[in-house]
Amino acid sequence: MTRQAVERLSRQYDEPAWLADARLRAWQIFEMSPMPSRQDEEWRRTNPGGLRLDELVPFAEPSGQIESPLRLDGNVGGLITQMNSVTTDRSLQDHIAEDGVIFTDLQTAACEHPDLVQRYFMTEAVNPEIGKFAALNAAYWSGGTFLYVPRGVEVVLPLRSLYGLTEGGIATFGNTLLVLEDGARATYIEEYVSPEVDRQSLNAGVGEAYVGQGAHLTFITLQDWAGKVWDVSTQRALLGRDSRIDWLVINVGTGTTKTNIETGLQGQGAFAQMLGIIWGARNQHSDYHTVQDHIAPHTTSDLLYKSALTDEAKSVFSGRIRVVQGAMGTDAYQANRNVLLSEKAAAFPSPNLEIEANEVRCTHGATVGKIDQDQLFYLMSRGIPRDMATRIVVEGFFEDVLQREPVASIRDNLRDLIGRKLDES
Amino acid sequence: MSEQQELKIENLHVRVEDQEILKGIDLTVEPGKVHAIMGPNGGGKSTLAYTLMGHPGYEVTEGRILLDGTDITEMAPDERAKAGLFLAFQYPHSIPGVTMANFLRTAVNATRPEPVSPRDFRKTMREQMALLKMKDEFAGRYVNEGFSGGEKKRAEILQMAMLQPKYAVLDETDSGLDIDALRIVADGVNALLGPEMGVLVITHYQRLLNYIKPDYVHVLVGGRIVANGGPELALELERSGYEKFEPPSAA
Ligand SMILES: Nc1ncnc2c1ncn2[C@@H]1O[C@H](COP(=O)(O)OP(=O)(O)OP(=O)(O)O)[C@@H](O)[C@H]1O
Ligand SMILES: [Mg+2]
Repeated sequence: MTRQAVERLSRQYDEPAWLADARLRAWQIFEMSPMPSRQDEEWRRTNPGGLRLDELVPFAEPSGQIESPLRLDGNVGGLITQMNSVTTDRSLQDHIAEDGVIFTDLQTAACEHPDLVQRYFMTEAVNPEIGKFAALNAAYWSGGTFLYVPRGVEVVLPLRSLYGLTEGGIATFGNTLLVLEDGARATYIEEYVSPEVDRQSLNAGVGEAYVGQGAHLTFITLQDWAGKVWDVSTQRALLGRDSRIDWLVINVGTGTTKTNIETGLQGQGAFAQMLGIIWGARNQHSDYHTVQDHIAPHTTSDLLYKSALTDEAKSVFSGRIRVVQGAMGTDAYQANRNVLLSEKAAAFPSPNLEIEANEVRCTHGATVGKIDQDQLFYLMSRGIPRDMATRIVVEGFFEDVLQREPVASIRDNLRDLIGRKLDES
Repeated sequence: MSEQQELKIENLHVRVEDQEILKGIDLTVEPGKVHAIMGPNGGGKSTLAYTLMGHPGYEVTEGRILLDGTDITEMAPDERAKAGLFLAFQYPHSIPGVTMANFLRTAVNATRPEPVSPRDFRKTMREQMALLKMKDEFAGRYVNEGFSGGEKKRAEILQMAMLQPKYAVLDETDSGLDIDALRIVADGVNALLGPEMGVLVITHYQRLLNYIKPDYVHVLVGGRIVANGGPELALELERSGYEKFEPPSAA
């Protein structure tokens, strides 16, 4: 990875000058910022030393096969498929395009809709300054997803992206930019997937969502990486007045994940529902840092992250609630629940509250517990074998998340996926 | 090997957390018969029930359990259930997020060679629920989650009705039931009784035995069966209590 490689990338794609410049600025930030270490508070429980960045190449041709982990099918408004950061397929139904909706890969969007993309892309929600990996993404990203929904337009069918990583020894840079103008509505589902790879690979991703006044975004982001894949990503949504995001994060496969999921409630009356489902087996390590950032008064956030872990899997959750001065009338809820199915599985929750405003309602709670042997005995006493009983208890554990509204459209798919993962373990 | 049709408990010694709780139980339950076990709190009744079902916390240190001639002492609980054993729990556990209907269907299919069709299953479940005067909405509720004491006991009998075991152990299925519920539950049990099923009823109260008529009554005190008799023994206990059976106190 070099400055020349960044320049080559811009030339190869014949990019507009602003974008080429932005890449070089990002590269500079990347070079100047130190590699995180375990001494950094953020990386206390995830050792960045395990990532061999210098052994990764930033490109690979599409290869192999990928499949939607949720087994989602054709009933969608649009679908973008990328492999190793190269767009291999994209579609958008005509009637949606006719409403002025743009749904295409980010590179194409940067050329065809430069004003729009330039206005939002890695400026406010996530910018290269926030950290080394965001900077690396900003320098090297390709492919990506751009969704733009004009004012008042409702996209009924879900829009999907499938990001595949199929080679060992590579880095991909998934990049998602979602813009909903005032009063717009859309559901966006992205899946990150890889088959088994022979060596370490990395996805350093960025996700940004702008939800305009009164708009409503349902955002489902799913990871099903192989055991040798690292994921270091930041996704941040900014919410306008009276807007709403329902945001579900699913992780059913990874080597090491270190991801930030952040909402900035910038407009009065904004509402964020943040849900997480994490299934960890073998030595999967997932480290989620969530932020519920209450900037405007009378905003509400409701977070529920649940993880079930077996073998030697680890789950780290650090959830931050920030209520700035003046954001009175804020309601902020945070719950992190972990169930351990083996002796060596472990979960490390830590809430972190910074409340500078008055008249705030805020609750938080975290639990870590072993799977209940009495529940298993009860099920087994009815003739249900131990592994099936375990599966039933774990599925039951996730059920309250599955019953939440944003999950309805993929509920059965998600149940099947969790069931398959449990069977594999 | 004998193919004797019976649930036979032979010289059963059971330890829980380094303490011997059952000190040599002998008991045989034949199909078509109702046995009642009575005894003071802490006597070991639930310990016997859990041990029969194979709870991992209860260690059999001596003796064995035979179900129709097969030694089930070392079997996992699910295998015992498949062999035809059922336990109605004194304190049923709740399973959040799992509906009664799903749970029952999984259990029914797990204990049968052929899965039942969803339609047949639903039909049978509705019928059985109606017999137990359970509202339809129960099927959609999570297993025992937020159930009242009486609802839990009915749900246990519903499970028994769906699984149709050969031998059923009912651990204080009457406790916590009001008079009407007691009758409904007892009717539910009686409806299942027949020449094919043997029942072991654990109870503190003669009242239940007015509805479910025992053929034999056993008194379990201090981990031993200290008296055996017919229905009249239960009436006697009601009058005189367990005092004469209690081991001399250490004080
Ligand atoms: N899991 C356990 N851990 C420790 N002690 C136990 C356990 N299970 C049973 N015991 C002890 O074994 C003894 C018998 O208990 P058990 O529950 O079998 O009595 P019981 O006859 O069913 O009483 P009750 O009529 O109150 O239901 C008691 O002293 C009890 O404390
Ligand atoms: Mg008891």
